[in-house]
Amino acid sequence: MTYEEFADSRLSALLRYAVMLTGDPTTAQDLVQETMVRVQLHWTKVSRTDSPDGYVRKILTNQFIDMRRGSWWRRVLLWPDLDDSVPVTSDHADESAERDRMWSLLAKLPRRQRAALVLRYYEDLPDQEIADILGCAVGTVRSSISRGLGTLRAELVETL
Amino acid sequence: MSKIEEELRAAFERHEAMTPATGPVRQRIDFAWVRARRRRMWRRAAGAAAVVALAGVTVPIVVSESARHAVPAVILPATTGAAALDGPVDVLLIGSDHRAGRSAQTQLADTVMLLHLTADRKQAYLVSLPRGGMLLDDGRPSMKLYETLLRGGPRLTRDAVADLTGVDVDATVVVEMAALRKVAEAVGAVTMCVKQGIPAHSGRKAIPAGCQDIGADEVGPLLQGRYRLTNGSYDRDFNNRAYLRLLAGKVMADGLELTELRALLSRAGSGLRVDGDTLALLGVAASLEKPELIGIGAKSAAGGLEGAKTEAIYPEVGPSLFAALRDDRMAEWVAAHPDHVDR
Repeated sequence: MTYEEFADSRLSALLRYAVMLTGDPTTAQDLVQETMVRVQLHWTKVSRTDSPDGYVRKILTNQFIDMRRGSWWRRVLLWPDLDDSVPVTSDHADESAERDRMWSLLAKLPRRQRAALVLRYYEDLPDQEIADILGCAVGTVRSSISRGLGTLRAELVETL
Repeated sequence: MSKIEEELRAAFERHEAMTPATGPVRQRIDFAWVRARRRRMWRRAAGAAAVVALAGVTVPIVVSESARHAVPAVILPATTGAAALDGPVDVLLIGSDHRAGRSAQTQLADTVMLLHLTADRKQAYLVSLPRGGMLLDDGRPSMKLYETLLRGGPRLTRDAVADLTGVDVDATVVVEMAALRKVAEAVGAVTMCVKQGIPAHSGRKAIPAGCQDIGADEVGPLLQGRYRLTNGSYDRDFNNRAYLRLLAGKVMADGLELTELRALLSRAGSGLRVDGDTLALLGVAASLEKPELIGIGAKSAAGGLEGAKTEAIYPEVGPSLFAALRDDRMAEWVAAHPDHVDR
C-alpha cells in the first residue's frame, strides 16, 4: 500500500478519532497533520507492519498524550472551562447542556483514560488492541476504563 | 451495558459532526510534508557535513591536487546510487602536511585514519593508523606509511592501506591544514580538554593542557604538534581524533543550514567539484543514526620505537582490528578492546 492510498482510505476515520480524543476540531486537525507527516517520514516502516492502521493510530494516540507537554499545545485553548459555559435557562437548553456536560467531563479526564474510553466506546476495539495502541498491559486498559467510567458517573450524579 | 456507557457512546456519536472535512486537511498535510522534507534534508546535510568534518570527508574540505599526481580530491568507485549506499563504508582520511609556499610534491601524511561507517548506519568509527609504521612488500620493509603520499599520492596511500588492512576503501580524502582551518572558522570554536600541553614549535604557538576553546587559530598547533609529546605522533593522532569528534558534535548540535553549507562549499575554492559520487558519499554519511565518532588508536608504539625502521603497524591489535573493519563487526571489537577506545 502506498502512502497516498492509505491517506485516501483512512484520513477521514483518523480525523474522527482525533476529534474524539481532543474534543476540538482545530486541535484534531493539528494532531492528524503532525501524525501524517510523521507517517510519511517513516512510511517504509509503517507500511511493513502487520497493521499500518493500528500503527498510525498508535502514533496519533501517543502524540495526543505527549502533546500536552509540548509548547505549542499550551497555546491552543483545548478544553473550554466549565465555568465559562453560558448559563442556560430553558428546559431544552438544560437538556443540551447536560449532553455537553458529558463532553466537558471527558475533557477533564487524564489523557490515557480518555484515549482508552474513546478506543473502547467509539472505536469498539477489544482490550488487547487498546493495550497495543496505548503500549500497556490489558489489565491497565481495563482499570483505566473502569476508573474513567467511575469518574464520569460520580461527576454526573453530583450535578443532578 | 450500563447507562453511563450508553451516554458515553451517545456523546461520541453526537460529536462526530464536529469532524473537519478531509480535503483541506489533506492539503495542509501536503504542505507540512514539503516543509518537513526540507527540514530533514537540511538536517541530513548538516549530519553529512559533521561526519565529513570530523573525518575530513567534508566537501568543503577540499584538497588541492598535486600537479604531479593529478589525483582527484575525492576518489570514489565508479558505482553510485544503491550500490554505493549499501553495506559498510570506509573512507580513508589523510592529513597532509602540505602548506602554502611549499611544493605539493614534498607532502607527507601527518595523519592517516580510516572512517568506518557501519552497514546499519548506527555508528561511525575513526581508526588511526600509525603514520611512521613500516609497510612491507613481500615481507620486506618498503616504505613508511607517511611516505606513500610523497611517492605515489593519495592513490598509493589508499592501496597501501587496502593491502595492509584488507579493507575496501570507498573513498580517499586528503585534507590540508588550510582547508581544515576554513572549516574551523566556519563552524566556530569547540571546547576541548587537552590532556597534554603542546610546546610551541616551528612557529606554532603552544597549546596548554586543560580545557579551552579551540578555534581556527588553535587548530594548527593542536593538530600538528607532536614534538615532546609523551608518545609523539600517537598522542597527536589522539588529539586529531578528539578534535574531529568535537567538531562533528558541534556541527550536529548547532545544525547547519543549507545556506551555510553552500557558503562552506564556496569558501573551499576553485578546486572544488561536487560530483555524483561525492553526493552519494554524503548521502551515506547523512544516513548515520549517531554521527558522533568512536575514536580508536593504540596508545604507544608497541611495534617498536616510533620512527625507527622497526616500527610496525599495530602488530598486536592489527589482525583483529582489521578483521573487524572488514567484517563490519566493530562494536564487538570495541567491547573487547576498551583500552584502545578514546574516552
